[in-house]
Amino acid sequence: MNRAIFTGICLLALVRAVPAAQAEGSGVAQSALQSSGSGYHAADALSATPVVYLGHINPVMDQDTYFHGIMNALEGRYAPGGTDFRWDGEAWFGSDYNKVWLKTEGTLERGRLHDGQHELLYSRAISPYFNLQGGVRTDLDDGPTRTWGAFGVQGLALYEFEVQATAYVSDRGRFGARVEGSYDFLLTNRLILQPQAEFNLYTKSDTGRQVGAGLSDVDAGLRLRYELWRKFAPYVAVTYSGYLTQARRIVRDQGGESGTLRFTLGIRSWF
Amino acid sequence: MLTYKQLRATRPGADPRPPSREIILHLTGNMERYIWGFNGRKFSESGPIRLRKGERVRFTLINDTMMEHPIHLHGLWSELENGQGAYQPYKHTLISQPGSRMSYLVTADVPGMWAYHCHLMLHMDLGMFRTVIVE
Repeated sequence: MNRAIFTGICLLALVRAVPAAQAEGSGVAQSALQSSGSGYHAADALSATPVVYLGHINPVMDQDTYFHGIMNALEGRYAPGGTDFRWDGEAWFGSDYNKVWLKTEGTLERGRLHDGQHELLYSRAISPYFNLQGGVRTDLDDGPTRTWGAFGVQGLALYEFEVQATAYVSDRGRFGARVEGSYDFLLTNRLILQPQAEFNLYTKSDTGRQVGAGLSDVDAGLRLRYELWRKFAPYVAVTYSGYLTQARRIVRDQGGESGTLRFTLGIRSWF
Repeated sequence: MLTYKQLRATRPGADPRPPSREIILHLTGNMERYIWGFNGRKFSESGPIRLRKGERVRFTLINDTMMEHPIHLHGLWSELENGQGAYQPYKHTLISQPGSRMSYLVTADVPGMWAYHCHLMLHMDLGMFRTVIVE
């Protein structure tokens, strides 16, 4: 546990401070010059002598902190044998460049909670669209509990793909990785089709948690949501949850289902 | 459709001098993080724009964003360079169109600290604001 957290902190220390994360124009900022005199500098460059305002109150407060929470998926996955319930959400608190980020997901299957992964991360803006994140992950559900140090990136990739890639090192010296992505097709401004997929990889098997070495499991969905309000969108979906490679054999040996494609109803909501 | 080109003052401008220097500002923002500013920086990451009393300056705005920004300079007139020569219109607020370049002349005839900002308050409050100091 301590080793895992320490690794996360060490990696975070490597994060370089990035002052401006404004996308459009950040590249041209250096060329925004004042064309007078021998040297060139932006007319609004940070000055050595700061301006003193009346009552020491700045005219605009652009260094505020904000809170945001989103439940990307809160859904029932229908099957004749019994419906699974799954959630996948995240919340953050912080300023434009530094945030504390909480991610949580899990599946309730026949009264048993599994795939419960929860992460508490520090998030630092490193580019207009990407954050470097580091912290801890705990696998907390009805299976054996595991703790990991986490380090990764999250952001909006070219062509507006939401992506997350995180590497983990466990309290038992094992390594893992998770890659997740989604894309929003705006069929209309309110009707949105979102393919989404999450893959988990591990270096060693962990039969207690149905984890196999290599590519271990996938959870994917094709969700069609209708935004009744921006903050509230019911959806219909087809979801697939399955184990791959070695994990597939582990789950089969334990008499479990190795993969199921399901009709799904859910709600996406944020505040 | 009416455009800024058609605006014409009813009488010639008060200051016929050409500008002695140019201040170029890019209008910038990040819709993903919702940060706004000039030259890729928020207000809190920038300094004031200093003008000497009586000086005549050209402001050039290059709008790098995908939306309009009505830019308002308090205390001083903004004379839009729209090709009307001596009859350039005097304005308080100038709308910068997405992806466009626009320039206007300012005579710094009133000393003081003046607000200079995008008049979309949701942009101003998140950093698209500067202090113009005439000293």
